Amino acid sequence: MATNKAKKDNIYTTATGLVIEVKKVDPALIQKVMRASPMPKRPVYEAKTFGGRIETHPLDEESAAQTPGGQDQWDYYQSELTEAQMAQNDRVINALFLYGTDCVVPDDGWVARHEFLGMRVPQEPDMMRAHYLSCELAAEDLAGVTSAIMKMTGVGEEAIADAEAAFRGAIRDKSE
Amino acid sequence: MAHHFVAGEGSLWAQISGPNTIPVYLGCHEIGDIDIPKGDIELIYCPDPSGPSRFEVVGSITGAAGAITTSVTTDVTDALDSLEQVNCPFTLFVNMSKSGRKDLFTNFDRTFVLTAATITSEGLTGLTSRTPDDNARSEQTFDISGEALLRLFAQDIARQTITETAPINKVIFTNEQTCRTDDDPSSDFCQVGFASTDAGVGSPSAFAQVLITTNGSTWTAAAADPFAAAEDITGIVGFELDRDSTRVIVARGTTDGAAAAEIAYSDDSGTTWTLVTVGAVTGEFVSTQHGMTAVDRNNTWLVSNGGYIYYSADAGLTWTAQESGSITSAPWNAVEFSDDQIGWVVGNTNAIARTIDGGATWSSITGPSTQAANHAISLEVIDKNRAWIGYSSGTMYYTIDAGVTWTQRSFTGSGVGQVRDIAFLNETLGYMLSNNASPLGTVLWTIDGGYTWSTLTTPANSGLNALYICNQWNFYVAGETNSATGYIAKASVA
Repeated sequence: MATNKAKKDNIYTTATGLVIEVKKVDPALIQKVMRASPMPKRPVYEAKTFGGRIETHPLDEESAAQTPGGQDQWDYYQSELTEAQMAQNDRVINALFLYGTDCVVPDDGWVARHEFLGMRVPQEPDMMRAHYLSCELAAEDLAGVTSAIMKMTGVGEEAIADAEAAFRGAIRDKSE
Repeated sequence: MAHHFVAGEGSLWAQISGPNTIPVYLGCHEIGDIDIPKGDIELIYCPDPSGPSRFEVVGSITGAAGAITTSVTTDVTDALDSLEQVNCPFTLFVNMSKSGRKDLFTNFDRTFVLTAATITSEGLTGLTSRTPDDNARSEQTFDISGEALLRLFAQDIARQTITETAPINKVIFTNEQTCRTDDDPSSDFCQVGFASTDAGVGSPSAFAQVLITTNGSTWTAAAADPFAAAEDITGIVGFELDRDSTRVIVARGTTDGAAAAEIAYSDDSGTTWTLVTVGAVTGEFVSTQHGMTAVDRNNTWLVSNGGYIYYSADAGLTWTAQESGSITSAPWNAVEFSDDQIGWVVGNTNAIARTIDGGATWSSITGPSTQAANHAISLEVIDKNRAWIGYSSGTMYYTIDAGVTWTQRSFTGSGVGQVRDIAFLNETLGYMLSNNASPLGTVLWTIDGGYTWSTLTTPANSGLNALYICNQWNFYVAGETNSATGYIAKASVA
């Protein structure tokens, strides 16, 4: 069970006792990070009008089934989209931890462990912190820190709840 | 949760040549506001007794509904637009779809159908400019007036719980939709209804019964049974005799070797029945549920198993033979009139006849040659030239030239089993019953006058017998005994 010991709005203490200072992140930066993540192009189908004009419309689940070859296109698009969204989530989380946290990263040999596991650990201190937090925090703490940053950033509660849910889902997906 | 449509989810279709012709996808056309004038209220004033020069409202008159108007705008392109080619009334469809292909006609969650649409004026704009870099779109607008706007959804069909164990042959309703007045509560479509049954082995008393509903959902047997034991009831019609009473007429569907054909009528919802002999040919009876029809209290027809056509001008009290087996001596299976003048009858071995003078004269019609050996068992008359016939071969044919030529219309399951009933609310919206070999009945519907037929999810059944359309959203289906009881199902919009 996660322990959110938020004594102050800008201090978050994890279940393991790590004290993290959370800071506001420029929403424009988040937008830029999201836009920098390429999304797959949605497939389309062609519709011919009575006048002979060819129109293109975005494919959806139902029109995919109604279009020859559409189901394969749709399935491929869905898998590409899922991958892209996960990559985008990772980038956003990294941005939040990079610009929205400050903490003393423990020196308990985690760098060696990560390198042993094949992960590249950044040497730049802020990046190293972001890497540490994104990899070592428990799922509930990841969600808690993220929502704390978003609250400081001024993101609406509904959006935060959505992000938390998506975030927990993504964490679960990774663990499955 | 309800889905809130946006304009981008709509697609525009037209039947350029009218009902029962191919619907075409218009694509990049935009429909404007649709105005549906339903008739203004005109207030009636009288002098107010409270003082001179004062008036009080003592009532109101609802004016006539006006034509439905809208407009369609599209770009001027280097090709002739489909609407530029329209010279005759056509049908316009606005299909709203949450998902799926826009160019698939049957792909809609709801659709608005403007019937008998006519282009009343055309406009062109932005054709030239005095400014060299003017990129304003060149557009053309078609102002359109139509007769009616149907708001259609694919209905859900749900079986109603009844205790009757015999097959249900036909369901009819006799009430109009009314608004509440000082004297009467409001009533909706299809609240007061009657159903005819077979005597059937499983019937509690071996007497065929008339079932009655006053709310469209609870059916109870009439207090008295019209005919003798083991005699089925096939045809059933009903109409208002006057402001306060409704007459129901039922036809005997089983031969009584010693007697002629027979109907029974009741003016007290089945508490008492009066038997009336029809014709003088012993052994005759009305062989199917479609064998009797009424346009109003003054015009009722029934057809017999011996090729006779009988007519009553006095709400069933007396009957005269309009046709006495000269066209066919085989059973007529269905009779249908579109008004008090235009009527058709169909029967065994493809016998077909038509009248345009209320039955004073009946003319034999040659049916589809491929169906010569089959029985015509269901019928829908659109007007004097257009009719649909369903066959015992599971096929369905239509004519648009009073039977000079016939065209088969295929549907999912056609060619198997029987087409048991065909019914149209108007020239656009129609339903049919297809019983396949199982037998398992399926309801199909069309929103384009019969060009396209789509299957509606139909509850499990053992064969369907007849349809009754209440309005654009509701209809009833009667069918054979299934799971130990007769079958009545109601279709409605979810």
